Amino acid sequence: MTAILYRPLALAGFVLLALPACAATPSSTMAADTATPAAVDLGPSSRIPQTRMAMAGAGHEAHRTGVSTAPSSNIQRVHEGAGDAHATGTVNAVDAARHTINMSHGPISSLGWPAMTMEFPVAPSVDLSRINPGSRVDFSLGKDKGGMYQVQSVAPAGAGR
Amino acid sequence: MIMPPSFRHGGPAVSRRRFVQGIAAAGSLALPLPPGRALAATGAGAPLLSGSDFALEIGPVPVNITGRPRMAIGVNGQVPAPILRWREGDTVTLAVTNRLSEPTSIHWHGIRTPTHMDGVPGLSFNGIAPGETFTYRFPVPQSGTYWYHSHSGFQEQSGLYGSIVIEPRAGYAQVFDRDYVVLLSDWSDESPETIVSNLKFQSDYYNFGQRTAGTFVSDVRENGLSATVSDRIEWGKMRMTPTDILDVTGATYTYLVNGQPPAANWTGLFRFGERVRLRFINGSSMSIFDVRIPGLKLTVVQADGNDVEPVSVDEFRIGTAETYDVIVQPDADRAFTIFAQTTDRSGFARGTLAPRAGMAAAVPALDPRPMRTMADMGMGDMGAMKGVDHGSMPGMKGMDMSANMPIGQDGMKTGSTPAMLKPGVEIDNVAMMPQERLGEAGTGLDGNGRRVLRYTDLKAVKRGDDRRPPSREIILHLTGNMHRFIWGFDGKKYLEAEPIELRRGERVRFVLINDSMMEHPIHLHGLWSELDNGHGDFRPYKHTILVKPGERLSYLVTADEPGRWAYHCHLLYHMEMGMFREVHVS
Repeated sequence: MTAILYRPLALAGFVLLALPACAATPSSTMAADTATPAAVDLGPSSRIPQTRMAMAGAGHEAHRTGVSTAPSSNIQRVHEGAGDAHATGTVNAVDAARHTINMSHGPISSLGWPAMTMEFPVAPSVDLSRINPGSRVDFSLGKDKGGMYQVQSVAPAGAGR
Repeated sequence: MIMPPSFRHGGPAVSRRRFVQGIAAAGSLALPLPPGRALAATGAGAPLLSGSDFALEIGPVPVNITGRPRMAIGVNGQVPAPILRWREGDTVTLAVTNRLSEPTSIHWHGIRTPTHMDGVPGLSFNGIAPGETFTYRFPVPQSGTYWYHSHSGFQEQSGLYGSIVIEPRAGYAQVFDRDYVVLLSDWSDESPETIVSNLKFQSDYYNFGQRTAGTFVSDVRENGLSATVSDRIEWGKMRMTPTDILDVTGATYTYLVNGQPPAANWTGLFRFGERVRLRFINGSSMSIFDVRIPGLKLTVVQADGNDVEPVSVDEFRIGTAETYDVIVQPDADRAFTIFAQTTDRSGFARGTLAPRAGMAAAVPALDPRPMRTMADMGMGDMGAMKGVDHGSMPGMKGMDMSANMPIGQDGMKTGSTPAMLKPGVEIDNVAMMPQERLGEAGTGLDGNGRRVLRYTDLKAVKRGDDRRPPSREIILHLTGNMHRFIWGFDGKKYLEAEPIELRRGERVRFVLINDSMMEHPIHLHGLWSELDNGHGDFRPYKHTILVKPGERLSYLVTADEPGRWAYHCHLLYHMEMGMFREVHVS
């Protein structure tokens, strides 16, 4: 008996994609074929202007019993280097506060990316003051410590090759 | 108590498969309602309320998760309740009106409110009587992902829970393009009263995975007769079956993502190349989930509302009431499945990240059902077995542990066992060799080939601001008689125990020893729990800590907010059955 009861449980993971057909039983009049439920997108991180304090860590506030305030931790993101992808693009905008650049870039075959316009975070080692909107640049993309893509280096297009 | 039984029961029978998967357009139903109580959305997930002034109306909400219409409890006609978006530093005002026929309450989970705003009837206030409006008003000193839920009876199980997102004043350290709440929960067409009465009647009522004569034969084939017999005898003495991982299972639960069952496939959209922040909240009553998105690395950036050093993993375990924020960057123009299987592998919640609505990716099979081990009994790690895939261990293969069994043994004098703690009606096991298990991912995860988040991975970005060493230790055992479904701290139920007294401003170390064979997510209201996990002053600040079976762990608490605070296991039925204490800061 228990074995029989348990079986549908184990199979549940496999029958999922067959479900829309199964769901159409007489008692399912409530289950109208509506669109996929919409999600609430709270928006990009830039919805809150970033200050220098952001990197000090969000969340817990200071304790309330007169304990001294801690010096903020020194965050250094380590870039792994190996496996960087190289591409060429046009700089649309530079956001020094968030340390990001918006670029229209060509296809990046090593990542399987098509040509796109997108905003990239930029490694702290890159000096954004020397990058001008409208300029065409060669850049490399690597992953930061958290596995996220970020721009690792930027140079005028054609200069380094 | 919550609803007349007729509200929930009756109606056409639904196939097992249907209630596992739910129906394709579940959620709140658009039924004719009195003017002014219009439902904001049908099957569209909770809407978003932003600002500092809120009017929340708690009332019955018709829902249909499995194909059977049922009454749930929601806020403003929504199940789950709306997402509340606050801003760090603001003072928020929330007028909460009770349209139920019984008292209710809302607790702001993890929020550092003054004690009388914490929403626990009997400790913070008297609760909200039917027809009454209670106005909560408090400053918001923190930022991050949190949630809110009823602290009255079993209302949380009936749908009274929602998400809180608090925007940081200083902006985000992380860069992301989209930001979704992923609220995990469990729904049953049975009433919570029926579930708890089934558990009291037979604690393994919802565990069909018990080993049978058939598995006995196959175990004998694999392990030999004597090992199998002694294994069965040991587990028999524990009065527990080694397959009991969660008390309430997919036998009655449908698991939800933002209120949607697997078949409805809640979908978060992204454009290729974007970074997506996902705020995972375990708002379930009795479920612990293992979450992954096959094909994507999850960069964990926040735990329980507090930033942590980013750590890249394939999977993480989220205990009841915990939150984890992760950032993912889909590297292909296709759909990805958000897969959250319960730790007992009896079911899963499912959603999708996709470039367009209506897309779906393959849904993985459930992992094998894990077994409890001797380490889970608090019998130590048995030396050589360290690092072994505990999930695949068939039991206590060939080991005669009878000399070490705690039950019915008198005169045992082991350092970690307080003299007053003796097995009896309320305690059926005492961990003789509780061990450090923070570096383990957990039952059924270690050795699964994926990089799974461990508590030792959590390192605060910000150094803790109270560097004083703790002035004293408070040692508590998490105890239970699983057979009778009695739970407590130190073998005492809430009504039998005195409050834990803390002096205002003092810093103490809480030591928890889990004598039971189940995980317990322990939640301290009002004060942070700074988990001592080997990162010095960079302890992660948490509000809920998942304690493994047989584990001993500790965390530091600064008693910087006076008042009467609830301290309890966040498995709803464990709390209701006695695993609850008051912490009093004078």
